Parts: sequence; structure tokens; C-alpha cells
Amino acid sequence: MARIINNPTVTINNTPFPISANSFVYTEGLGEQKTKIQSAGGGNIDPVDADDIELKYSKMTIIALPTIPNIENLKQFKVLASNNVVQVTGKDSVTNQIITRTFTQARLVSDYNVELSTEGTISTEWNSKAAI
Amino acid sequence: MKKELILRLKKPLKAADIGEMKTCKEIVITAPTVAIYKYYYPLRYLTDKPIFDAMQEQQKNAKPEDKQQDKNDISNEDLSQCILGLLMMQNVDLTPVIKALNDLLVVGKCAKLDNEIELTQPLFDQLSLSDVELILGAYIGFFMTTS
Repeated sequence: MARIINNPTVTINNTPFPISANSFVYTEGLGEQKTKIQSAGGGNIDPVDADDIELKYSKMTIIALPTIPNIENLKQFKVLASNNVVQVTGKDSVTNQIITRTFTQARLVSDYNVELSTEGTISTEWNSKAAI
Repeated sequence: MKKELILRLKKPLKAADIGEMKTCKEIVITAPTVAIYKYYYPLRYLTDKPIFDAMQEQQKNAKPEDKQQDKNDISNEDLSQCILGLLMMQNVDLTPVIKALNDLLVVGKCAKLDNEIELTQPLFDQLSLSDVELILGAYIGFFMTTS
């Protein structure tokens, strides 16, 4: 029986980056497909698909806790603009299957809030080339 | 003592480099300085005596006509094999030795892939065992047995 992957290992620029539990969210970057219908005459229709290439990039949400290393690392990632690589690896503890996704040219898009409080988090939004 | 040791990896590594993934074929290890003594001596402690004992045994068994080869005349790979052979002769458990090498290279920050990308723990974990053995033997051969 397969298990849900909820505790992935996140590596940014070859260095492990600790994240808040259950917080990693990403899109594969496969874009969206739009379907338009053209009339084929006689009451028949002919669906036509179109790839929206403007959406062929990956989006990620990573939530970190406001520790000093995390705050400093995130600032550095922001300064590096698109020169980051994010890798996420998840392992199914039952089947031992491993899933890995690599996001190249990753950039922090939002000017994230650093909540310095007991329950504080740093929620960051990233864009990158489509996941590999 | 050499300033750095350059080894060609048997299994190249993929590493992040300026926003892209790069295939790295070489590892460059800088010579030890006092800055990394905390990571250098544990490795030396584990390997000095077995290597010394094995060399003494070899010298006892050596025939007079056997030539002593100058260390500078042999390749990094051959020297590494030779050192590993000496460790194996003494039945050394390589587990703590590899752990000490891991700390030395990663925490001591003295290894770079293609002389650009710092060897971090996730990258060390990607190294093949044969590459780790190659690095171990060459490091001991060049940076530990010279002094």
C-alpha cells in the first residue's frame, strides 16, 4: 500500500533547507490546455486543443520557520534572483519508491513576510522552469 | 605536499550551479590547514596505525630486488588503490573512516566539484562508493602519509 508523501527533503543550491511540516506545494509546470469548439456544420462540433505556453512554468510554495539560518538563507536566495535550483525528494516508507523533482532557474517572487513570533512562519512563493 | 588533489570521478555528479544543473566530472580537494584540524585528526587517528603496520609487514616480506617507487611517479588512482589495499590488509572497518572523511570534506569545506561547487552533504551522498574509496585512498596517500 502506497503512502502519502508529506515529509520531503528540500535542497536549495545543493544545501538542505528545512521546511515547515506539510508545507511544500508545487506545480509540475505542464501548463494548461484550453479547448475551443469549432462548428463542423450540420450540428456537429469539432474540439480543438491549445497549449497555453505562458503557463508552462512551475510554481512552488515553501513555508519555513523564522530561524536565523532560514531568514539569512532566504534573503540570499532572493538576492540570487533566478540563479537558484530547488530539488525536492520524497520517499514512500512502505514501497521505498523515491520521487524527485528539480526546479531550475528558481526565483523567489514574493516579498515574503518574516513573522517573528512563536507561531510565526515565512511563506515564500517561487517560480521556476518546469519541473524535471 | 601538494596544494590540492584533483581526482576524476568514475561516476559524474549532477549539482546545482547558478540556477542550472551541471554534470561535474572532477573533485578538487585542498590540502589540510589548521582550520580543519578537528576533522583531519579523526581520520588520521583511524588510519595511521593500520597503514603503518601494513607497510611494516610489506617491508618484512619485500625481496631485496623490489624497487621502491617514488610517490610522485604513480597516479592518484594507483596510490589510492595502494592505500586502500593497506587498510584492507589490516581488516580496518571502513564505516567510521568514511564518516570521518565525510566530515572532513563536507563540514571542513575542503572539497569542490569542478573547482567551483562546494561539496555539500546531499552531493557527498550522491557519490558512488568507488569514488568515495578513490577519494579516501588518495587523500590519505597525499595528505597524511607525507608528514
